[in-house]
Amino acid sequence: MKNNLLIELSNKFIDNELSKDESIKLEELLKNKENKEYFDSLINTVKSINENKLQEKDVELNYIIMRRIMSDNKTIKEKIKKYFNDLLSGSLSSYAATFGFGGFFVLLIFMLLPKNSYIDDSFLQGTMGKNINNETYAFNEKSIEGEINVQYSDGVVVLDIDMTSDAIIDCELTINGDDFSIYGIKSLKQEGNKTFYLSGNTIRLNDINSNHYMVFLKNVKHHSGKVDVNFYLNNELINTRSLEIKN
Amino acid sequence: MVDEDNNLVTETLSGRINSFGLLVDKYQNPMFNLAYRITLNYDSAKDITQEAFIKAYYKLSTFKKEEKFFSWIYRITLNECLNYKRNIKNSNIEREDVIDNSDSTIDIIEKEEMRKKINIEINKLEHKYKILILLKHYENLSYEEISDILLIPIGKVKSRLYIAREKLRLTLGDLTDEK
Repeated sequence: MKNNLLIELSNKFIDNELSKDESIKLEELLKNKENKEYFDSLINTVKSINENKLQEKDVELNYIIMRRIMSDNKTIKEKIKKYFNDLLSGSLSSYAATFGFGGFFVLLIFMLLPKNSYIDDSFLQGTMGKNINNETYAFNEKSIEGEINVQYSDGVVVLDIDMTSDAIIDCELTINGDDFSIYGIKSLKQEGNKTFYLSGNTIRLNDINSNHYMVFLKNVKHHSGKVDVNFYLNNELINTRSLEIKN
Repeated sequence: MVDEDNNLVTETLSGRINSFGLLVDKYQNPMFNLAYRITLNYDSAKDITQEAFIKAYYKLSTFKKEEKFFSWIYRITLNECLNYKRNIKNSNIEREDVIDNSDSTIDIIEKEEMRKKINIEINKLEHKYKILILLKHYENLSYEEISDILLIPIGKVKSRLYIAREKLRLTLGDLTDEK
């Protein structure tokens, strides 16, 4: 069985990759007659391969290749041209109907988009990470019931407000402007009339039947703080809560 | 060279087809000779080279700029050769007798016999070994270039080449020892 080192060093010799140390090792190995026979045989084989390679030939294929590419390109262009020719070969009334339908469709999509929603959610990147603080405040009054879930993570506060009422209720959230800034309000569900107003550091959510809002705040200084929530029925305070935002 | 090739690729992709013609000009001979050495058939080598460049043109948008066009076109040509080999297994295409008329002495027949035998033995090798003999000994490519073309580590290129040389040593042994 041939020595792996001999095989490696012989091949390295052929590739001219032997280091000084390896040359010495190879010399040592070649003192053995069997090793020397193997080495000579390998060298002769490689020499024969190198000497007997087929002569390089020159070809001129550029013209054929480029002609094929050009003709394929021409075919594609012709196909595109034909497509548009076919498309535009109808009567004026059919174009009018097509454009009319298209316009109606766009209008329909526009009308179905939720209105009254303002949200700047660019800050949401990364808020799904670890360490989300989560606290829920339930309220159950005569005229209104529901809960506010407070989530806080990495400087972003989400107030998830779900409330149901049988009368028109105003829910007023007051924040401390030094600690928090308002990023956005999103209406997730509406069963009754709903509106919301934003004035300075106060958000007023108007509710009847069942509504679900999300309010996004940024905790500017990363301090613990609070948000005051007041519920009004006919401008009369019926409930008040203080939501703690823990850092 | 790499920048120059990559610029030509970018120009082609932006609609200047003639830039691709420059790449064809540059690489048609090496690709043809590689295909010829694998197929030992002049016409098949020409067809393979054409197909390789046409494929390269239509796949140009998939070419990664950090790669070398040279390695990429080699790889496409090798794949085309492999497809060709698969196809001819059941067909009647025959290898041409590879006669090179560059020598004019009386021992041309002996030399040609030797050349023929060596090429036949190389062709008998498994594709993965044969490719390495061709790329290293016929195309004179470095281990790094071969590694880029075949997308295998340099260590594997070397070990496969060592095996390929050993296989040829065993089959060509007598022939080369007679020299």
